[in-house]
Amino acid sequence: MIPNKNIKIFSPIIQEAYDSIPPLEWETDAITEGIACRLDAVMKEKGISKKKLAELTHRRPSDVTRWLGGGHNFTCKTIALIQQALGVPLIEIAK
Amino acid sequence: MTKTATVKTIEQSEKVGLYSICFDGNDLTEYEKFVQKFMNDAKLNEDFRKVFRAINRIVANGALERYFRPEGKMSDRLAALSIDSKVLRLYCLRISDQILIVGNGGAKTTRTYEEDEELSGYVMDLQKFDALLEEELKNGTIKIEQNVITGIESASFEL
Repeated sequence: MIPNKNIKIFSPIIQEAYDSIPPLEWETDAITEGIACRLDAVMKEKGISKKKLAELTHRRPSDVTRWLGGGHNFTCKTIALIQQALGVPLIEIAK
Repeated sequence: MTKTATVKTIEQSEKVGLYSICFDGNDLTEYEKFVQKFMNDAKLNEDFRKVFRAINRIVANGALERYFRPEGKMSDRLAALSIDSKVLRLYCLRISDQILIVGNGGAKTTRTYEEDEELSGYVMDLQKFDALLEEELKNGTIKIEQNVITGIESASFEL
């Protein structure tokens, strides 16, 4: 399954690898990437560096790098920790 | 020993051109070899899927800086993907937000890649290629036009 149909793939092996990824993993990625993208935008907007966010959350800068990578499986606790540090929500809960 | 390499387009999207190096005598590019090696690896398959999905994010959204962590020297464009896997590494050259050259990689069992002969070999190949690519770009033999490297598939590089 190719999540984005506008991608041209020129290699049969790469195509095979795409087809081997379970749809649930693409679905999960859409969520984790959405959170990472929002985090990146808030950090840029507020002028907060990776190092600064690491300090604010008492985590390592390498953790922040992984959060921004788009594939990190955030726990609710980590999202709450980041939201608390940044003072803005990363996700909205539908009511 | 010098190795001759050409470059092949692996994937193309509106945002990114994804390329990989192919050494003379090989049917597959370095990235395809990586995929073939780890796609069905029982132990590392989960990590492989993380790497592969990260490449897909890049192809879909751009080779954005946040997807990478620098691995090489200040003077080169060597990067590794920023993913949750502590074991599997895939090395790349992030040329711009729209061009990514993917190399090979493997399981990192030592603290740094320099301590691993196989991984440091992959890194050195990419670093040498990076320098040669820069020369060709300066010469004007090949050109970067947004998400395409024009003329790259007909060029060969002596690494």
